[in-house]
Amino acid sequence: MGNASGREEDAAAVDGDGADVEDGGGDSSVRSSERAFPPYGSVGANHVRRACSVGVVGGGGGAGSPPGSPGHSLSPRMFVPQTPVPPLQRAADVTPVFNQILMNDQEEEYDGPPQKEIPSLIVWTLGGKNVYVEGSWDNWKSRKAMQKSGKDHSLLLVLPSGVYRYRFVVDGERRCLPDLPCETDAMGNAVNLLDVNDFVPESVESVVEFEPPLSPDSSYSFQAPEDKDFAKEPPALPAQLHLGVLNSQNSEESCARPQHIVLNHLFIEKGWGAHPLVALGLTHRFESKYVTLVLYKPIER
Amino acid sequence: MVMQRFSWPYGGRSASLCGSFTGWREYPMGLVGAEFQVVFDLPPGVYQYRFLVDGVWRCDETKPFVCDEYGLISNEVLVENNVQPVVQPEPSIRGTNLDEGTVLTTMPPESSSQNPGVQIAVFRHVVSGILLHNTIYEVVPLSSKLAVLDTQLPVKQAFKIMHDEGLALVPLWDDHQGTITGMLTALDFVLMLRKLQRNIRVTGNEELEMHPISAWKEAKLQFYGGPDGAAMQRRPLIHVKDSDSLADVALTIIRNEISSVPIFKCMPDSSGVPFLNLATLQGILKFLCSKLQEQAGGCSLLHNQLLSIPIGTWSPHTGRSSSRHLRTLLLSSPLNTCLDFLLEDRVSSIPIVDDKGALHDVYSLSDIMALAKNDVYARIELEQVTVQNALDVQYQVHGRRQCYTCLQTNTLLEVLEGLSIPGVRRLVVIEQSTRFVEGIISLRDIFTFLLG
Repeated sequence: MGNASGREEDAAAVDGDGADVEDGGGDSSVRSSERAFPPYGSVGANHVRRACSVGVVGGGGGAGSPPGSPGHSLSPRMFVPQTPVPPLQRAADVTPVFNQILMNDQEEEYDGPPQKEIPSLIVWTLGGKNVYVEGSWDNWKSRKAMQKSGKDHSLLLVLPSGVYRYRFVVDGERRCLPDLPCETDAMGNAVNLLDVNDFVPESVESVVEFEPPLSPDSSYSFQAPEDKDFAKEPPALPAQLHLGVLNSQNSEESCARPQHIVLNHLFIEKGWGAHPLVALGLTHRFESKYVTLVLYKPIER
Repeated sequence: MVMQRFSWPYGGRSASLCGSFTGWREYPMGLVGAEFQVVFDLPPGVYQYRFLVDGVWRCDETKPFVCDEYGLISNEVLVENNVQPVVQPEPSIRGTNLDEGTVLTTMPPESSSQNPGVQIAVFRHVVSGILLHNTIYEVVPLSSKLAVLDTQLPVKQAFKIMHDEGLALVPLWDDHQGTITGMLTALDFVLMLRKLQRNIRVTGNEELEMHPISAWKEAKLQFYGGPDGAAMQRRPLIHVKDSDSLADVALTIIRNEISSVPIFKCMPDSSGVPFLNLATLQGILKFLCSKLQEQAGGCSLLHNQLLSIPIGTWSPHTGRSSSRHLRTLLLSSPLNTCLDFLLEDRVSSIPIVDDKGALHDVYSLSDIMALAKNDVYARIELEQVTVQNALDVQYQVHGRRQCYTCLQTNTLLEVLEGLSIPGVRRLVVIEQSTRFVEGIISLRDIFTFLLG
């Protein structure tokens, strides 16, 4: 799955959001064994995740012995039904009546059949003390406080299927996550998009719309490249790849953080001074650290 | 003195406490609400203790504990002067308070400021906590650039690259093994020059030109290994893992008498490069200083003067004892003598003084790399070159440099901050008016002291 933040987390590891925990001294059982995955094709699967029930195994221990390591305490959360304004519907879902409502840009409530509400997790990963989220699900009327879990802040919302706009308020400042789908509103403010979707295909192969169309035979030719093809200038190197991995100074201090575009590209400088050698530069990321290695190799005679 | 409460909240009919502060004699604990308690009036320091509950020796697993050489586990507590650890227990069913506990005074009142031994013990405890609970991965810069040399590179080119890039040591990459297999250091350059100095004008330059690094490494083993190969035998590359604690990494560097150690990744990643960075004592010290600033207590030793701290290498005229003899050299001394001392004493630098004995500069092993510029080494004989000449070459290449010094009246904090400056490996302790060399404090000295 697309993993926007580079972390691979289980969809169930939601720091207690939506946890369904039994009371009592015994082991809590997992109420639902179903693992829910993000909707196929949703971007930033790490930030917006479906919730699922999580069980907690309680640590026992008699009164006369020091307690063992405390487990992660997951607090059950009550989901209060919400009455959101109509979300933006997908083209497939839109009825002619609703089309009219959207075109007129009205904001009155839609008295259609009750829709299935889907838990969706919103996660803010860029730090801050007080983080709130506001969105089009209630016509931007309220700010909901996000729960701090580790370094992240998260909030579980139960919303009908649809596309919503939302943004974060971090320590009083309106922010959005650049890694996730976003758009700019009429005022020029960036907002994130939340695609709440109850559809999870079991396998891509079973979905007809994912099958690529066959290329027409006429698009192929049997002409081999000729000298004139090779005589053409090679395409220009993108400007951002001119950032000199090889030219930056070796430093005992931390270097500037490299742009992601240069990662895992091999930079080559042939002939170093008058010496018959080649310098190979490679920048790669290891967890949250960036390492640029410059390997000096002799040129084989 | 600090009131320190010890409690056993895990039940039992009777409980006693014994510890290093009681001479390991048992003292009964009073039942306060639902837990057994006892309060001791203790001077600041690090203490071990155990509980005897219903005749069975117990430890509180929720508190810090240590294991001694006999495998016995004891809890450990750090008593600090500026913290008041005795707090009112939460009201229990009977609504009792601290006064129902047993208060004992087992030691004579003694201020921590009057007892440097206790201060050192407390400070080492704080430092070891930081070094044990942080990994070398956390010290690695967010972004760094490292030069690596292929083992098939000719030695002459290798030293030229090291000089031009300002490097005193470089990891070596072996294509066949697909990993870092060794290090090329300034010491290699010194050993090579000494090996070749007899006939360097005839064959030396060509030998450097043609021989790859891998061949030099083999030749070094044969030339300096001795008949039994004991002096310099082939050994696997010393390295650490990115998950190793800072304490382990510092000990690895100190015990192996190296200046830095490669950090390898615990788990291979998509890059296929197992090498993450080089760990140095300076990097660890810089991280340690930042953590010490966050510490509330246990760091009073930082404000003590060097006079009162057993750290560093000292000149005999100061009357201070040190594990090794402090040498100085005159500017007019032959460079060969300087290199002899560096190799014999297994040190990385030596203070250089003028005719009056005042500090002029410090010559270190890494300074020898200046001779790689324009093949200077091929046109000189080490016996005829003075330290003054060698320093002049150094100044031509890099300009006149600052020599980092301190006084015996400087505090430990000032010394640590000085050694955290990039490029500073040591501080020369001088007498302020005459600039006579009194001692030298290296990064190795600091960590040898901190790790006890």
